Amino acid sequence: MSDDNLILIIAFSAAFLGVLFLFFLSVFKLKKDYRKLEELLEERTRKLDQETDKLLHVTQNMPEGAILLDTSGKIVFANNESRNILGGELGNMIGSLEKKFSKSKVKEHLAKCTQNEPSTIAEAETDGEIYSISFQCLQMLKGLYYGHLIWMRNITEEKQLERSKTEFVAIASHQLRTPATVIKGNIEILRDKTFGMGELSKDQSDILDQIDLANDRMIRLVNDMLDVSKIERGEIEFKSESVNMQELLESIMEDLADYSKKYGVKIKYSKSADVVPSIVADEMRVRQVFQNLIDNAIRYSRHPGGKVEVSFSIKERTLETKIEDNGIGIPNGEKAKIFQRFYRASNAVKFSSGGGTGLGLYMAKGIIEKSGGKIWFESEEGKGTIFYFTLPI
Amino acid sequence: MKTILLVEDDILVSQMYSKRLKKEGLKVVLASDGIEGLEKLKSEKIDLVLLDIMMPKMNGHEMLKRIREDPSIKDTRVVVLTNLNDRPEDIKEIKKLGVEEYILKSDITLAGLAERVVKYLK
Repeated sequence: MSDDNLILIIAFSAAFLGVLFLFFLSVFKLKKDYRKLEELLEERTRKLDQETDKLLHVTQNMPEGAILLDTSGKIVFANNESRNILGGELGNMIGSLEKKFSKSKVKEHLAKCTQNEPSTIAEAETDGEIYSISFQCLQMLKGLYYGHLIWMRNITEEKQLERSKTEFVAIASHQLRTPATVIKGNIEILRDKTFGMGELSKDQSDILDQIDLANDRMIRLVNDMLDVSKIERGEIEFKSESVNMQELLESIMEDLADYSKKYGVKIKYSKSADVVPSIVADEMRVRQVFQNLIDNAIRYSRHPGGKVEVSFSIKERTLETKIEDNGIGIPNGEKAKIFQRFYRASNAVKFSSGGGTGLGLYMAKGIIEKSGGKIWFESEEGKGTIFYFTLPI
Repeated sequence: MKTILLVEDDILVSQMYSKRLKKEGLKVVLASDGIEGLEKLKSEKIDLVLLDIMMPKMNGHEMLKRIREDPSIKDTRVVVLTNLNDRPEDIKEIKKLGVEEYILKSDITLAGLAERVVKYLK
């Protein structure tokens, strides 16, 4: 072997060893990297598990029942409350839901939901328990599409509370009316000379007048509060009937004739050239609003020359009623509050302490808006007020 | 002398009404609930019943039902005199059983009531 060859072999071996060293070095580094990656993955998985765990705890223990359905309508998740309501077996839950809340309704709501309606809510009473059920359509969630989410909430207690409140208002108002009736009747007996209890002095008679006024106001308050609570809870069903506003006005003017005469206020109906068309609303409720507005107009215009004028006009498929008075008007600073519950304008309180209940305009607004109309006013303090309301023809 | 049966649980209300009705020359028999009302109706000659609705033991609605079911008293003339006006479905049912009128106490004066009673007795 020549020297050259020997050198070549040594150089080759050295290069080989070098490469081998580098190779082991990289393997070692790779392994280290791999372990790091593994650790990272473990950490991520642990964190993810923790997050899933948290979410699961929340969803499982929510007071609402929740069921998740896939696109084929199969249940893929049901939390504890939903199992309480519908029984534990996943496979039987939809059947149980249909049995409890009517098959057709469940199907109808699920179908409605796929037509891209975000959520529909139904109420169902079953075994003495009342549930509100909402059907929610789930859209894409990180690329995955789920079918439906059904929420169930036991609202028995809320409903019972609502019912007992209604009952309470009805009974309380009835109970309050009875003593008011006794006060009113006995005032009448005291004033009736034929009972032979002697003549009342002027002062005594004035005091009786005041008791009577306050008592009347109390009766009105009780009636109005009962009405307000019914309207607020949507308990009153509004009839859709044809109402002849001109006849209604004439009848109200007849009812209020004594009242306006007593206050020396003239009411006038200014007929327009147009025939007043009938409107569609609940006659009793419209009468309530109309009467209330005219009553107010008379009450706050009682001064020499006090007058109230009512007219109708047709505005864009609605009938606009205008009630104009030349009374005390509404102060500028209070205009925004006039439709609020129990609010009475400061000048109105001074002018007529035994008068309104502060509920009339609040109720009028509720009734007119529920009937598809609008109510508003223009007023200048000391000059008068014009109230307008529209109702669909 | 004509006789009125006033079925009313509130003593202040019944005293007040009977005081006013007696002035019309009427005899007023009092009962404080539906059960007592039925007893008085069967034992005395009554020309007109003034009937309250909300009463203990037996309410006016139930008493009216029993009156209409009992052949011996079924033709009795009844005027309902109550403060109950917030349950339209109840009022409808009561009217269906046959009453001369459904009067709200808070809506009528004593003189107005006396006038109505005299009218129904003619």
